[in-house]
Amino acid sequence: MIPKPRTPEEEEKMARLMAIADEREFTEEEAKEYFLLLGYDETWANHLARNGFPTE
Amino acid sequence: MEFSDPLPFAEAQDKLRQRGVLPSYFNTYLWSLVPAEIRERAFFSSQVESAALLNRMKSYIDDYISVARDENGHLKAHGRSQFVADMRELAIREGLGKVDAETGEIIPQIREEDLTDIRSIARLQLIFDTQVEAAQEHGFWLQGQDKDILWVWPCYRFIRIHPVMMPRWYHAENEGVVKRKDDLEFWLSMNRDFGVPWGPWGFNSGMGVEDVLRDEAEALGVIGKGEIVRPIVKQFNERLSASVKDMDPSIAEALRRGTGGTVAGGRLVARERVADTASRMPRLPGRMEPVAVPPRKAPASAKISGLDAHPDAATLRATLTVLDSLHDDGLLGLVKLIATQGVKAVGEYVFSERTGQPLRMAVSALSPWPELTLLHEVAHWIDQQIFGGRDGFGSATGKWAAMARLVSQGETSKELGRMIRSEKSTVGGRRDLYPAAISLLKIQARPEEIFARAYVEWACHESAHPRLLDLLNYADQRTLGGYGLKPRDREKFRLLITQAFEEKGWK
Repeated sequence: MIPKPRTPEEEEKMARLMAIADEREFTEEEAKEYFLLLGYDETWANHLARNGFPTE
Repeated sequence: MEFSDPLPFAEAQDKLRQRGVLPSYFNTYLWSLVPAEIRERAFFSSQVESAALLNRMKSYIDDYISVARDENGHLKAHGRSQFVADMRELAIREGLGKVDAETGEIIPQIREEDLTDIRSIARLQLIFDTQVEAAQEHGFWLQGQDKDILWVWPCYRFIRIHPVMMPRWYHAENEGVVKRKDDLEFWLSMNRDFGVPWGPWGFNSGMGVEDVLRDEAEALGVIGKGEIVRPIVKQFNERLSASVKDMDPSIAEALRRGTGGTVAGGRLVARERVADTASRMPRLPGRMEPVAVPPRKAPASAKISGLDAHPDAATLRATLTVLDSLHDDGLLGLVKLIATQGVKAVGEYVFSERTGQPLRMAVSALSPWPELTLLHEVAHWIDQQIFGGRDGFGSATGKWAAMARLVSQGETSKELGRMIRSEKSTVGGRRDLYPAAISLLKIQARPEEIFARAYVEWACHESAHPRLLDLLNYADQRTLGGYGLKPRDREKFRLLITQAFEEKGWK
C-alpha cells in the first residue's frame, strides 16, 4: 500500500489516534478513522476496522 | 470417563434435546456467574462462539445417547474417538483454535493436552464426557425420584469412580458419605461447577453416587425407621427459577451482548449466527480462467485432495492449472485442502513436527483473494516439503541456504525491519502504526513468509496470467507493507526460484 500524503488536520487526527493506541485498543469507529487516514477506501476501512488485516 | 455403552433412556435424551445451543465468548469463570437455570438449559462450551460447531456437537451426542441409526441400520455416532476427529475438523474449518496472545492469530499447531484449545483431544474428550455424563446422570437422578424407588433406596453414597490428579477438597472430605436423596443443600454443595444435585460433580471430578438400601441407611442412622424421603424435583426447579429472577443485571447484559441472545421469561433465547457474509472482504470482480497445462510427470494438483468440497473449488482448480503450467511437484507429500471460515487467518499450511508430513492446507472461504492465498500456502508446502523438513521451512532453517540469505538480506526484509523498529510508515517519518499492525509486520517479516510472497509474485509474473497480475496489484494496495516484494528484490528472487526448480528437474 502506498500511503497518501496527509493534511495538517489529518496529521493531528493520526497523532490523537496514536495516543489512544498507546493506552487501549481502538473502538470500531476509531479503527475505521485510522484506516481511512492510512489511505484505505471506505469499504476496506470498514472491513479492516471490523476484522483486522488478513494473514496467510 | 469413557462411555462405551450409551443408555438410551428417555430422560437422558430429553435432557440434551431441551438444551438450546448458546455460542458465546464467555469463559468458564463468566459462565459460573450465570444462573444454573440458564446453564442447565444451554448447550455451550467455554469461549466457543461458533453455533455451527455447537449444533454439530449437540446433534452428535444426541445420536450417540439415543443409539440412532441411519437408513442402512448403521450407527450414526460411534463414540468419543469419532466425536473428537469430526469436531476437530469442523473447528478448524470454522477458523477456531487457540489464539496467540502476541499476534492475535490462530496458532496452527495443536497441543493435544491443552484444555483451552477447542481443537485439542483433551478439550474435545472433556466436552463429550461431560455432556454424555450430564444427560445420563440427570436421567438416573430423575428415575431415582420415583416414590417407590425412594422408599427402597432413600439415600446415595458419594463415591470415587476413578482417581484424579487433584481431587477437590470438598469431594475428598466427603468420599464414602451417605446422605438422604432429598438433602438438596448437601448435593448442591458437592457440585459447585454445575450447581445441580446430580453428576457430573465437576469437570473431571471422578466422583459418582451409588444407591443405598433402606436397611443400611437406617442402620447408619441417616434416616429414621420407616421415615419417608420425598422427591425434590419441584423444590429444585423452584430454586432454579428463583436464581434467574435474582440474576445480576450486569450478568444479564453481558450474556445478551456475549451471545447475541436475550434473557426473557427466565430463559436465555440465543439468536443463531448465520454465515456472516458481511465479514467477507470485497473481492476483485472477474473470474479466474484455467490455462493449458503441458504434459507433467507429477503435477502438484494431483497431490492436493479435498478441492471439490471447497466453496471456491472452480477458482482454486483454475489456479492449480497455472501452477501445473509452471513446474512439476517432485516429491511433495499429499496434502488435504480444507475450507475455513477465517476472516483474519485466511490461509494456513500445517505439517507434523513428528513425521514432517503435511497435515493440512487451508484456504478460507472468506479470503479476499483465494487464488493468491492458495499459491501462498503452496509456497509453504514446497518450502517445508522439498527444501526443509521436520524442523521447518528451508528458507527459515537455512537448509535452503541461498534462499535463507536472500530472504534475510533482501530489500523486503530490510524495509519490514525498518517499519517494525521505528514503528513508522514509509512516509515522512511519522508514527502511524498501532501495536497490532506491528505484530502483523513481524509475521510478514518471517523468512518463510517472505519466501511465500516471493513465490506468489514469481508465479504471477512467470505465468503472466492477467487475473493473477490484477490480483497481485489489488492485494498490494490493501496489505500493510505491501503484498509482494520490494521492486529491487524481484529479479533476485525470480532467478533463485527458477534456478532451484531447474536443478530439481521441475521446469
